[in-house]
Amino acid sequence: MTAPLLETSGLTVAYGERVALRDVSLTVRKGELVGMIGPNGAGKSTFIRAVTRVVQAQAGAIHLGGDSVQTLSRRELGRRAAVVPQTGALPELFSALEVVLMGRTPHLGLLQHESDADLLAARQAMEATGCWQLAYRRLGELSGGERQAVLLARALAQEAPLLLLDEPTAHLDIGHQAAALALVRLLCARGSHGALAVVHDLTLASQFCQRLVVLQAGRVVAEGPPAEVINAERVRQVYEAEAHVFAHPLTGLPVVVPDAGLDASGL
Amino acid sequence: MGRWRVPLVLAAILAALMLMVACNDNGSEKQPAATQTTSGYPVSVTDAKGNRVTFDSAPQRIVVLSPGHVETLFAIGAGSSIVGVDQNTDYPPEAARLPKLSGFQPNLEAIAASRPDLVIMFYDPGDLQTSLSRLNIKSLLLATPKTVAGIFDQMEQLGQVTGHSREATDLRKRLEARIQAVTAKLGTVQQGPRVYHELDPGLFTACPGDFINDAYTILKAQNIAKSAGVPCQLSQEALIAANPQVIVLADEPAGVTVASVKARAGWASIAAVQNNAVYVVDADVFSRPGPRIVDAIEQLGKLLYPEKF
Amino acid sequence: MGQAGLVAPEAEAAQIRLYLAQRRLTWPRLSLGLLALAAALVLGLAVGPANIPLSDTVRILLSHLPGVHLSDSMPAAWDDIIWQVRLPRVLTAGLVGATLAMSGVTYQGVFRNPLAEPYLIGVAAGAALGATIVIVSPLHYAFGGFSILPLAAFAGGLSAVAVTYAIARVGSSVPMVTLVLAGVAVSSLATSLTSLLMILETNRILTILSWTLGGFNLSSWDRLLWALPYILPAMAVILVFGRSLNVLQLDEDQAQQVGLEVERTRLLLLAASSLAAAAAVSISGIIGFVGLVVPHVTRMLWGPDHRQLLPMSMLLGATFLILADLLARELNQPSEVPVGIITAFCGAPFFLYLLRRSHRGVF
Repeated sequence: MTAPLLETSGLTVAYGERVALRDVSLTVRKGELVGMIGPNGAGKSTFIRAVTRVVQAQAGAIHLGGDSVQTLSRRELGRRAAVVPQTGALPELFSALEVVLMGRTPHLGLLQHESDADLLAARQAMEATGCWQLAYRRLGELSGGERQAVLLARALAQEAPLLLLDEPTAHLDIGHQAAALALVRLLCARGSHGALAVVHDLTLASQFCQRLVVLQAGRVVAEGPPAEVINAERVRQVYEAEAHVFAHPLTGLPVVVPDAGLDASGL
Repeated sequence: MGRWRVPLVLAAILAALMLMVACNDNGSEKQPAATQTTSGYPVSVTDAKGNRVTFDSAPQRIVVLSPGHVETLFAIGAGSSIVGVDQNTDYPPEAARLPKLSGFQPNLEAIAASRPDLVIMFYDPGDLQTSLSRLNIKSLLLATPKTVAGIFDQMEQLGQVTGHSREATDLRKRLEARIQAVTAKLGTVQQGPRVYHELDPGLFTACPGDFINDAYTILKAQNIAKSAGVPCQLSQEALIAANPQVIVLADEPAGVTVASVKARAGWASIAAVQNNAVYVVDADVFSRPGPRIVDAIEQLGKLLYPEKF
Repeated sequence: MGQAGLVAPEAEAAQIRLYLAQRRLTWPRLSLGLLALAAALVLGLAVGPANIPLSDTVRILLSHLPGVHLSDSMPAAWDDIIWQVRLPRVLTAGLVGATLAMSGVTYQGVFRNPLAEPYLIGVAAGAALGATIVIVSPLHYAFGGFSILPLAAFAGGLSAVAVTYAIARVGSSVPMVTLVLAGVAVSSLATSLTSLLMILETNRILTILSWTLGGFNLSSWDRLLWALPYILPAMAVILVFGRSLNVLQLDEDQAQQVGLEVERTRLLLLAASSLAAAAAVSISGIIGFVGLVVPHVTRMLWGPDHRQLLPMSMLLGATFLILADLLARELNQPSEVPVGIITAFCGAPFFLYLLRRSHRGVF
């Protein structure tokens, strides 16, 4: 059996006094789309940062493809894991294609010359995420959804088997939300990738992810298939909110609807 | 101890008196007899800022923040009235021993602590004059003269102010006579040699408006720096193209020597370099608007016209 | 998944490449820049207070080629002026202009800040202090035509950067904000020490000021050749890392995640550009404005891709400074006008004009 794309054991990360992740152990294999859910500040983004060694872990081990993250060079890290970040500050003046090409960094030689293969890889990635027609437009001119597509394309262009997505559906309308997760699910299903997606929307997470990891205050409090993990009790415990959990009529997967505090007559 | 107290105190006072007398002794041979003219007062002088200052009697405690004027005051016999000088003052030797204050960043308190009744400066960095007038201290801003005659005019001004008018006028006459002696030897010369006068290895020179330039004019030499500029810095290629016949170096403190100038890239073809007419002169003598400017003119005469001296 | 197109992959890649090249207008722009530089060089060589006719200038230049003798009939002074004074001067101005612009682009890229410029972490203040110390010391600094001022300035500039770096370093990383603050502190300290020395030795004020204001009046082959070994390798390194500078424009996390060694790349770029800037400052004094504005002008005109931004800024910087230096020696001839005054005078209004015209954003 080949090593999992990602394996953490006992991962603990602290920012000074504040402990963001406590003893987190999880695995992602090729073919899996794992969803990471939890309330704000639970440590989900920190997890992705720790896995890519952007922050240093205080304790525990992180292995990508069987090798400890501490021993991998930046280049090698970039070849094994690609991140789709939340669309934050991005350089406005670069074109979409130029940004996607930045994802080819781990594959470039010393003189950093972009070869034909790199250009084609970028194009393929952009067509897969449906943003090739924006190739020469500046980032600053694109909408949130379009930028998200570009960032996903960049991650794909990196040709790393592990995808780490930090709230990839945050700025997307419902159609694009579905398309983005469906694409990632498809890539995983084809066996070329494995992915960990931090998703806010519980319903979306349930519909697309085979496995969910629930993070609360830095700890993993539940893990398993969505049907087992998502229920009203858990939502109350983890999110401190009231919600109704139904089973999807066709798939049987959990559908979560927050409780509006209204009774049948709408009061 | 009691018995000796009175004699001890008397001895101390006597010693103090003797000390005061000794320190005030300015036995320089350049000084004429210190006779004060009682006539001439009150004297009114207008300084470079347009301030009109009136003196009812000779100032007794003068702070002079300008080396050139210090030399002048000593030369006209008013050196004993100076109680403070600036840090660059070093001539005559008696002046070098006087307490030093800063000429560029004068400290008002330090100046006031000397209890002067007159402050002479050549440059006012930050309304020093206004501050002094608020303390009721008279001050004169005597800007650096643009001509040699202007230096002499300032000498006479200082003579009037300090009550040494006669010495000042005599000094002027003697100095002008010495200049006359030099120019007489020039005879029928219409136009003297082309000169480059260096103030700094960055090719800073004396432009029109500088009294050194006037000195060259008196000697009928042609200063190759024809246009005024602030700072007055020559373009290197203009210098070479102007082909000076004599080079006068007033920047020895920067380590400039005749050899180093001759070795400068591109200077080999200059007439002064080829004819060994590159000379080092005393930077102080050539830059202070005081009586020694005539020493400078005499020296220049010999350098510019070696065949005539 | 991919496009099973009618076009073979190589041809398709070539298509993309061609389109990119056309969009970037790489070759037309480079040609324009080279042309401008060539014109400036010619103008700079042709014009000067010595008023040497252009034909004679050309003959003098040609006769320095081995085996060519065309200038026997001309005054020796002209040969000296063109070959020993004007040519090194124009080349130095070009070199310094290119260096300052390149360093400016690099600093702005590494710090991701439009106000960054080559003097940000202490190069200028340190160099001025180094030069001032030598000028006011009893040490004679002019030995047989050779001055140790450039060395002292160079040492001062590098020392200041080293001190800034040492202060800002936290373990093995250097936070950018801390670096900038440390640079401000070190520069202030160096400047105040320089001022103190100026006050203590007032009869050297003129020399110190003239050095600080900057200029190419004392340019020579010696100085030019002295600075080249520091500037050329630095330029080579930075040009190679053009693409990395692009990637650095992503935020720190993303740049690392995409596979770039951010910390190491930043340090290398800062070290190279500081070295080059220190060498430039030590042979030309402190010329402001070029390092800050030329990168912006180039970016406004031709976009943010550093692979283009770097060479175009260098060409523009060189052209600009050659022309500014020409004005410096012609405007008030035979006297010199400090070139820093001209760069500010010419550059500021043009920059303001571009700011107003630009609707695409500045950075």
